[in-house]
Amino acid sequence: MREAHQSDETERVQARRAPAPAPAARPEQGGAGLVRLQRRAGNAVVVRALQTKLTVGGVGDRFEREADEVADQVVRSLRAAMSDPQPDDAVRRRPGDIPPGQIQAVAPGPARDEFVSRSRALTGRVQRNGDGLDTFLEKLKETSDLTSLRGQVTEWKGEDVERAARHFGIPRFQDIVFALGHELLGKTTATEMCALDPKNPLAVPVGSLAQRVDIAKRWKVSAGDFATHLALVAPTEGGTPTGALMKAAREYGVAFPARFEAVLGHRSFSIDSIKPEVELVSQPERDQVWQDKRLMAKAKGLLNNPNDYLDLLPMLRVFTPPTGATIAGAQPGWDKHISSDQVDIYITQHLSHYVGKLVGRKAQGEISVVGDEDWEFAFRRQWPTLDPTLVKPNAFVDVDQPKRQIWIHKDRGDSGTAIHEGMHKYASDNIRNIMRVKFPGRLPISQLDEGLTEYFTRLVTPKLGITRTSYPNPLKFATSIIGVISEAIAAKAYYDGDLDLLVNTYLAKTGRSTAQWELFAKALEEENWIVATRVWNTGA
Amino acid sequence: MDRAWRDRELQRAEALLSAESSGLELHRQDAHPPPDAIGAVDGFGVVMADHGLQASVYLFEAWGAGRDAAAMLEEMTDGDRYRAASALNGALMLLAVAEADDAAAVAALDQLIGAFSGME
Repeated sequence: MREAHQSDETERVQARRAPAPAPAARPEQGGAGLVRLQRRAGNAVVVRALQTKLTVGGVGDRFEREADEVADQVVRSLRAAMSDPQPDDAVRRRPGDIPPGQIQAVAPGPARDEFVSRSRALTGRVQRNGDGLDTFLEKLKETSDLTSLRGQVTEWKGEDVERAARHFGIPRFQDIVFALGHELLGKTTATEMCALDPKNPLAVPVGSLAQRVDIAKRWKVSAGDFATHLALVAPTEGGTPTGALMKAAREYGVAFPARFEAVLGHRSFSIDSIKPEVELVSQPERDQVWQDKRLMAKAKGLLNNPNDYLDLLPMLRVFTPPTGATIAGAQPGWDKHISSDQVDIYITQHLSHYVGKLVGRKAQGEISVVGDEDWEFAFRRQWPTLDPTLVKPNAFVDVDQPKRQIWIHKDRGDSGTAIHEGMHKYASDNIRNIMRVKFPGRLPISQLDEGLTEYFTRLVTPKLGITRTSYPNPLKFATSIIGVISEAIAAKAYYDGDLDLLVNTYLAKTGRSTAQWELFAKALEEENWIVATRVWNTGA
Repeated sequence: MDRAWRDRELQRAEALLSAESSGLELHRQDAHPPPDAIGAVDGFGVVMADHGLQASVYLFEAWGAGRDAAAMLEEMTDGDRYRAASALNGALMLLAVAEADDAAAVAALDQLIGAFSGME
C-alpha cells in the first residue's frame, strides 16, 4: 500500500500538469463545498473547476503555488470526509441523500460513465498489482459508483467482510454490500454483516432480517434478486424461522414458487414453520409448485428429513391427474379423483348429523393424489416390510405416522375412493387400532373398520351418482351389526372411537356373550366369511 | 396409448384377481364380449373351475371410462338365471357373471368384485 504522503505528492503533481482550459466558477472551499457543487452540477463540472484552478505556469510561480494550495485543500477535505462516515446518519439516509463529505453514487450519464471507467481502472490496477484488501479499500473510497464493482469482490472471505465493515462503519458497509451484489451477500451471515458493534441494533438476528428487507427496499433490489439473496443466506439463517423468511419474501413481493424455493436450503428448515405461508396462498399458486418437476426434485433432494417431503405433498394439495386420455365433458369425479376440499363439502353436507360437531376433522390438506414414485415413497414409509410392487392398494391412510395422511394412487380406485379415505379422517382410528392388534388378519387393516367406513361412505356416494363396489363382505357384516345396534350408535362408536359402546350394545341387544362376539370378530378380521356368517347366524 | 402403461395396468388386473388377492383359483380365457366390442383397448377373461363363475377384465383409454359399458353389460346379464356385477378400478373394468343357483359361485362373485375393487 502506498504511503499517504506519496499519494498526496502524486496528486499534487497530477494537478499541476493538468491543461489550462477556459476560466470557470470558483469552487467553494473544502470538501463539503465540492460535494455540494457536484450534486448541483455533476462530476464533470467539478473536474473542470479543479483543472481551472490548477493552470500551469512556470515552476515556482504564483500559479503553481496557488495550484498547490488548492490541490492540498481538496485532497485534505476529501480525506477528512472519507475518514468520518457518520454511521447514524448513514443508516437513515437514502441513496439520494448526501451527508457532508460523502460521495454519492452517480446518476446515469456522461459523468457516471467517467467514474465507471475510473472505478474499473482502479479495480483493474488492484487485480493486476495483486494489491491486498487494505489497498483496495483505500481506493474504494475514491470510487463513487459502487455498482461498477459488482462481481469484483466474489473472492472475499468472512474475515475480509469483517475488515471492510470495520473500515467503512457498519451501516455504510451494508449499502456497499448490496451495491456490490448478492454474490457477496451469499458469503456473509447476518452476524458477519453487523455483529461488530454490540450496541448496533443490526446485530440482533431477528432485526437482521428486517434490516435486510429495509436495505433491499432502499436499494430497489428486485423481487427476484431478493429471493436469490434469501436462498443464499438461508443455509446460515438458523436463528430465523423458515416461515419468517417466507413471510419476508412474500411481503417483498416475491412470487410463491420463488419464495418456496428460496427457503428450501434453510439450515433449520421446518415444515410446520412454512405451513401458515403455504395455507395462505391460493391453490393455483400451490399448483405452480407441485407441478414443477424441477422444483419438487430439488425439494426432495434438499429436505434432510424424508418426512418433510412427504408432509409437503398434502400441504400443497398434490392432485396428479391419471394417466391416459380424458373424457370430454366429464363431471368432477368421473374422470379423476374427487379433490380433498370437495370431499369435505360432500361429507359435511350429507352427514352433518354425525360429523357436524366434530372439531378439526377434515380431508383438505390431508390427501395427496400421486404417481408411482411418490406413492412408493409413502407406501414404504408406512409399510417398510411390504413390497409396493406386489401389494397394490388404491389408497391408504398412513396410520402409523403422526399426521395420518391419505395417499391415493392417480391411476387406481373409483370416483368414491377419496370419499372413503376422507371418511377415515373424520373417524377415530380407535376401532382399527384395537381390532387389528387383538385380531390380526392377513392385511394391516381392520375389516370391521373398513366395513363401517364403507357403510358411511355409501350414505354419501349414491347422492352423487357414484356406484361403489369396494369391501362387499366387510360392508355386509357392518350393515348387519348396524341393523342390530342402530345407525346412531354405530356412528357414535365409529366417529368417537367407542368400540365398547358398539360391542356392549350388540351384546345387550342379542343376548350373546363376549366369547361369541370375539369368535365372530376373529373370523371377520381373518376374512373367513363363511365362518363369520355361521357365527353371526348361530353364535357358534 | 403408452404401451408400458397398458402392460402395467393389465398386470395390475392380474394381481387383483390372483389367488393371493381374491382367495380364488381362476383360470385364464378370452374376454366375453371382446374388448373392441365395448370400446375397450385390451382385456382378458377368467373362469372359476368347477363352478359357474366367469369374469372379463377390460382396459379402457381413460380413468373411469368403463363406467357406461359396465352398467350396460350388467343390466343385460343380471337376472333370474345369472347374477352379474361390475366394478371399476381406474381405467380397468370387471364384469363378473355367476350362475344364480350356484351358491358357491355367487359367494365367489362378491369376493371377486371386492378383490378387484382394491383396498382403500
